Amino acid sequence: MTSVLVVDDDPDVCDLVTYKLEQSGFDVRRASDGDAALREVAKKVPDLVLLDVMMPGISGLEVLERWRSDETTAGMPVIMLTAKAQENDVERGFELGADDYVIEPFSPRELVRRVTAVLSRRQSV
Amino acid sequence: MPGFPTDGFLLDVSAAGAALAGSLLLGTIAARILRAVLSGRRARAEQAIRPMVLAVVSGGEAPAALISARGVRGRAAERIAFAYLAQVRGEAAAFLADLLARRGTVARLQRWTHSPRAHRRARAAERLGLVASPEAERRLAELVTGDHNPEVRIVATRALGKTGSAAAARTLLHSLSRPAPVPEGIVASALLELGPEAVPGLRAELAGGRRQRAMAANVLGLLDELPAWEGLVENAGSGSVEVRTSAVRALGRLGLPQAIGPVTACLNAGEDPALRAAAAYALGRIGDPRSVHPLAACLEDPHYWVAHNAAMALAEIGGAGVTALSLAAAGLGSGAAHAREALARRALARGERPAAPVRTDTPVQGGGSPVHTIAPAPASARGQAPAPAQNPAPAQLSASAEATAAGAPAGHQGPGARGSRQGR
Repeated sequence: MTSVLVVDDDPDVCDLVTYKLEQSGFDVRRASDGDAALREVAKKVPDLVLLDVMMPGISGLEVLERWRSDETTAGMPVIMLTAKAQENDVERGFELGADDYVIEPFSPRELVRRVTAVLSRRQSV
Repeated sequence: MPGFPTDGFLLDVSAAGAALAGSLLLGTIAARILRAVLSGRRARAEQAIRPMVLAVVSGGEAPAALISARGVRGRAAERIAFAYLAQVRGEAAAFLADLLARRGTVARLQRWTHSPRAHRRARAAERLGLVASPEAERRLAELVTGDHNPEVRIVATRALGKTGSAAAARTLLHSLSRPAPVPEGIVASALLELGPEAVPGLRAELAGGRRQRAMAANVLGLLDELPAWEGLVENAGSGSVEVRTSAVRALGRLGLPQAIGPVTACLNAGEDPALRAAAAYALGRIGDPRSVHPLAACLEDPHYWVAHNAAMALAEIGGAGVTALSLAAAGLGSGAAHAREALARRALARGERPAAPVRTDTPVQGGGSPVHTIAPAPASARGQAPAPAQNPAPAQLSASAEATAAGAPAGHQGPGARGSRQGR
């Protein structure tokens, strides 16, 4: 089963995304901040990460930077979750190697499609 | 001793104190227990309700238990539904709004908007913005323009921005003409929140009243609405200074070279300094080398922001603009200071070391003691090609700048150039 790590400090967003992804057949793990995300990935590298940009402690962009500088996680697909007001972070996210981004508020159906698209793109490379 | 309390009195006081402390302790314990019980009930209710709401988000039929839930379960249903509604859009948002309408929540919120309590009206407005039904939108528009409490008007303005409705843009813009309108920054944020949905209304209001035009121009620029450039050019050319300044700033944000002519016209010395400063900023954002000459002519402008923005714009244009700044930096006046600042900022932004100012002792024409001036470091010290022997006169600035823009080697000022400028 394809594993997805959802990283968001908002439990409501985590619930929503987890529910929708599980419904679509993904195995979902959760982390509520950057430190927890780094620990989860160190335990087992997921097939894809949905990563919130704005989090307490280490920001999503910093987490992404660390993953990209580590050869075990450098190729791990990452989709950034960002609020509408932080669209500038999208550019920075792409510079750091994000594969895609989803702006909140999001369409849950579109989110699943993007996850599927990024995964199939990675598999075809 | 007269007046001294007896043992019996002291015992009574101690007993009363102990009783008071005991009852306070018991009260605290009871309150904590009650809070824990209520919190547990709330958590259990949310646990039971959450899967039902999640199913609704995914398009499932809302169970009767969810629609008819009241009390602690009803409150849990509403809290969760609104929390999710703030995070989703599209059909998921429509499913949740439908659930809330079927529960009677929307009708209750509509009633609350007529409450005599301002905080209740504000809360209702905030939630109606998430529901975003046509009825909710109508009521929010009434609150934005008609509520007597400024805080409620602000909340309603923000909520209207969340509806994502095209009609909301014009309501928001027209609210600016009301007595005691909501602060412009909040209206602008709400319009930006509407995003592309706001564009038709914004473009239509470019021909509206003064405040509407200024706001529409600003927001169109922030939304990068390129097709609006012609309307912005019209506004840059006529009307109040506020409207023209907003239009010029927006044209700068769009960065279209087609706007150079109208924006450069706003740099003219007869125009308002605020407009000229905005025009200088805009020409920098457009970044076309054709603006170098008019911008360089503004470096000695007596209005600080005009000269400052002109220098920053030249740095942003790069190439020919930097050549013009280097020439100006060799002078003595305020223009030289602006030029040096712009060059230093540019170097820092590029991760380079700013050229250190060099003190030079230049003999004054006709004898006398030397004059100490600050000049930029030699070109070779800045890692550039050595300056040619010929020193360009100020009149040659434009030609030199254009040559640099075309890829020709830049002519830099030498000591003689500084001398000639100083001699002027």
